[in-house]
Amino acid sequence: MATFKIGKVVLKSLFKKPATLMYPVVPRQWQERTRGHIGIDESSCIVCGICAKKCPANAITVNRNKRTWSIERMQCIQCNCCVEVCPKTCLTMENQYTEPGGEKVVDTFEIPKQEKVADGGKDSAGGGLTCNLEDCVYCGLCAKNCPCDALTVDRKEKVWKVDESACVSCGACVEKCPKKCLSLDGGEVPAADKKQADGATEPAYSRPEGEDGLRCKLSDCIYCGLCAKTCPCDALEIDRKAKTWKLNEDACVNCGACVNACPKECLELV
Amino acid sequence: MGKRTIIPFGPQHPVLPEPIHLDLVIEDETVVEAIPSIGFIHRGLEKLVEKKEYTEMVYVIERICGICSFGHGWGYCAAVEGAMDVKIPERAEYLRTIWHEMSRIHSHLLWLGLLADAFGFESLFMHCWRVRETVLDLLEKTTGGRVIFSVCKVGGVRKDIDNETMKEIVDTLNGLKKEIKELTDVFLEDRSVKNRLCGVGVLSKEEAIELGTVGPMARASGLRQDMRLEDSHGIYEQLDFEPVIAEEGDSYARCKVRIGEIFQSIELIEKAAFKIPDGPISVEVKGNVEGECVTRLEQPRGEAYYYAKGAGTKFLERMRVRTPTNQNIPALVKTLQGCDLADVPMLVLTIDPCISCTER
Amino acid sequence: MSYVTKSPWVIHYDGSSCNGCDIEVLACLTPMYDVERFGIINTGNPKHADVFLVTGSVNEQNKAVVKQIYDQMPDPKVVVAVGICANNGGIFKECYNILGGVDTVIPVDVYVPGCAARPEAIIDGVVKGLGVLQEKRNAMESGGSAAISAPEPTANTEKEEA
Repeated sequence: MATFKIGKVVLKSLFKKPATLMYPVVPRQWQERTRGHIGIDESSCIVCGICAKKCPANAITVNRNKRTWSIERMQCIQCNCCVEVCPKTCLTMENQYTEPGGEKVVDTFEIPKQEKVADGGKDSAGGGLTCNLEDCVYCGLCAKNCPCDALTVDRKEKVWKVDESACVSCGACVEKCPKKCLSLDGGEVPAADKKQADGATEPAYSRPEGEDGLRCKLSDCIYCGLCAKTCPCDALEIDRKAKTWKLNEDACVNCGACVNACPKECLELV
Repeated sequence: MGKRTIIPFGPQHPVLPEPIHLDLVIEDETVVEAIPSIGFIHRGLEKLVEKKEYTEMVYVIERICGICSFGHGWGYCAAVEGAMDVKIPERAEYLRTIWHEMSRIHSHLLWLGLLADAFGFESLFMHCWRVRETVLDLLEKTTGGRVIFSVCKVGGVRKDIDNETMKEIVDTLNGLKKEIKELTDVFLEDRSVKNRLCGVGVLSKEEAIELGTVGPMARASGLRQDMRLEDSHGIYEQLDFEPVIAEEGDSYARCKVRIGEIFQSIELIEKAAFKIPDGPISVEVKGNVEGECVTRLEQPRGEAYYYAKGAGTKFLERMRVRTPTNQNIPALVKTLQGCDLADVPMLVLTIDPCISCTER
Repeated sequence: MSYVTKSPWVIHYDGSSCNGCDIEVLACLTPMYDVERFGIINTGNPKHADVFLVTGSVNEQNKAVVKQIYDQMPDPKVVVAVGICANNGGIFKECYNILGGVDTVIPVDVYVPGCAARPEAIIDGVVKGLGVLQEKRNAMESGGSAAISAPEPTANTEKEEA
C-alpha cells in the first residue's frame, strides 16, 4: 500500500496553468448549441399561438386580439419546442442566459400588423387564411378540425375552399395540416372582431359581474362547441346555428378544462 | 447492552446534496439500527401524464433527476415507442447509447468526488470534478445543455453529431484516460483511503440476492446482473459488452466496480463511434398511444424500469418509473447496522443515492 | 475582487429539486468556477451562513424545514432562489404536492432563472445578492443605533426583578 499517492497530481497542478475560468472578469465563450433564452423576430410572427400550445411549461402567452407575445423567463425550461414548431421560424434559441434579478421577469413583445404579401402560386381566399396549393394533398384534415365548418375540401375534384364569413382565423387548421401548407396572414380583420366593432361597445357576459363560476364573453364567442367537447361533465350546451351558449351549473365542477380549449379565450373561471 | 441514543441525520446536512432523513439508533458510537424517512422530494409528477400530452411529457420525466437525466428520457421514449410499435432508426440507437455512456462517465466521476468529500479528502473531490468538467463540455457541445439534455424524443433524437465532433469526443475521452487513472489510483491504492473503505459496510452475495439490490452495489457483491446484457434497448449486443464484477462486497469493491465502469464506458463509446451507421435520426410519430409496454434500462445507479400505458388518447393513462435507488434502500439499512457513526455519511454515499429518483 | 468586502458564507438546501441545480451549485465550488476566490465557503451550519441558496420548489413536507433553516440564520441574510423550480414551481407547477416557488414560504431577494441554472448564472445571482446584503447591513447599522439604546431600560428592570 502506498502513501500520499495524490502527490503526483498535486505537484503537477502546482506547475500547470490553473483550470479556473475567471468568470465574471473574463466573459464566457458559448458553445454553438448552448441553450440560453428564447428570442423572437416580431416582424415574422403571425400570432397563431402554436408555440403557446406546445410549450410544456406553459411559459408563453399569446394574445391574438391585442397582438402581444409574452414569455415568463422564470418559467421557460429551454427545451426548444417552440422554436421547432413555429411555422414562420421567427423564434430562435440564443446562447446567453437570462440575467438573474430581484423580480420575476416577464418579457412582452408587440407584434406589428403584417402587410398582405402577394405570392405567386398561393390561392388567396381573401379572409386571411391561405393555402399553398402546390403542397396541398387535399386530405381534408383541416376541414375536419375546423370548429366553424368554414373549409370545404374535395379530394377527387382537388378543390380547397374557405368560407370567409365563417372563418374566424382561430388557426386550428394551420396546426393540423400535415403538409404545413396553410397559413394565416392576419391582414384583414377577422369576422369576430368585425362583429364587435359594429355591434356592442361593451363586452357581453353569460352571467352578471360579481357572480362566481364559469362565464363566457358572448361578444367574442364563435359558438364552435370545442368547450362542450372538452367538458368532462357534459355541463355545456352549444348551438351553433341558434348561437346559444348554456351552462348547467349543477354539473359544472369548475375544473377549467374548457377555458384552455377555447380558441377565442372567451371563457374564464371567476 | 449500552445506553441507546437516537441521532437524527438530515434532511439538511453538508455531505449529501439531497434531503433524506435517517434516525440512527446508536450504542456507544456504533449504529445498531437505521430508520429511513423519505418524502421530501416527492412532487407527484407521475400524475402529470393526465395534463401533458405524451410528446410533452418527456420534458417532465427528464427532470425526475438531474444526474440520471438522459437515462430517464431514454427509458420513457423507449416505453412509449414500444407501446406504439414504432421502430426508430439505427443511428438514433447508436446516438442514444453514446450519450448514455457519457452520462454514466459524468455520474461516476461525480460520485467519486462526493465520496472523497465524505471522508474528508477535499482536494481529491476538487480534482475529480475538474476532470468531469471536460466531459460536461463535450455534452454541451453536442446537446446544448450541461445537466438536462432535452435531446430524446418519441421517435428518435433531436440533434445529430457529425463525424468531426464524433472524432473529437473519442480523442478527448482517450486523452482523459491518463488523468482519470491517476485519480483512481489514489482511491484504490492509497493507504489512508483504503483504511476508510476496506471492510466497511459488507454485503454478502446471499444478502444482496435476498434484498434485491441492483446496479454496481449488486455487482460488487459478486452478482452478474446488468441490464445491458439483456439488450432490450440500445446496441450493446454489437459492442461485446461484459459487466465489471468484484467479489468482496465492501465499500472498496463498490468503488472498484464504478471505476472499472468509467474505463469500460470510454471503450464502449469508442467502439460505437467506429460502428455508427449513417441515416436519419428520427421517425415521425403521430396518433394516439394504445397498449402498454415495459422497458428496462441500466442507469448509472442500477436497473430502472419504465411502464407506459395508453388508452387511445393523446394523454397516457399511466406512467410508472421504478428507479434503482428505491431498490437499494433496504441494502443501505442492512449495511448501516454495526458500522461506526463516523462511517455513516460514507456508507449512505456508497449506494449512490439519488433521492429525487426514488421519490419522483 | 473590489465589489466584495466581506467573505459571505453560503448554506445550500435542496427543496424538492431534481438535483440538476444542486450539482451546478456544487460545481461553483470546484476549480472551473471557483467561488472560493471571493471567500465564499459552503457551510453546513445555518448559524454561520449569510446567503441561503435554495433550489427546488416547496412541497408539504419541506415547508417546515425551509422555514426553520431561514429562521436559524442570523441577520442580515439574503435568500437566492436558484432555478425556475425555486422561482415559481417550474414545470412541476401543476403537481398536486407542490405549493409553488420558495417565495410562498420565505421572502426571496434574488431569482436566478434556468433549467438547470448555469454556474455562471448562479455566480451572477450570488454577486447581486451580495449587493443586497451590503444594503441590509448598512440599513442595520444606521437604523440599528436607535434600536440599541432602547432595550437598555428593560435590561435594568430585569436585573432588578432578578
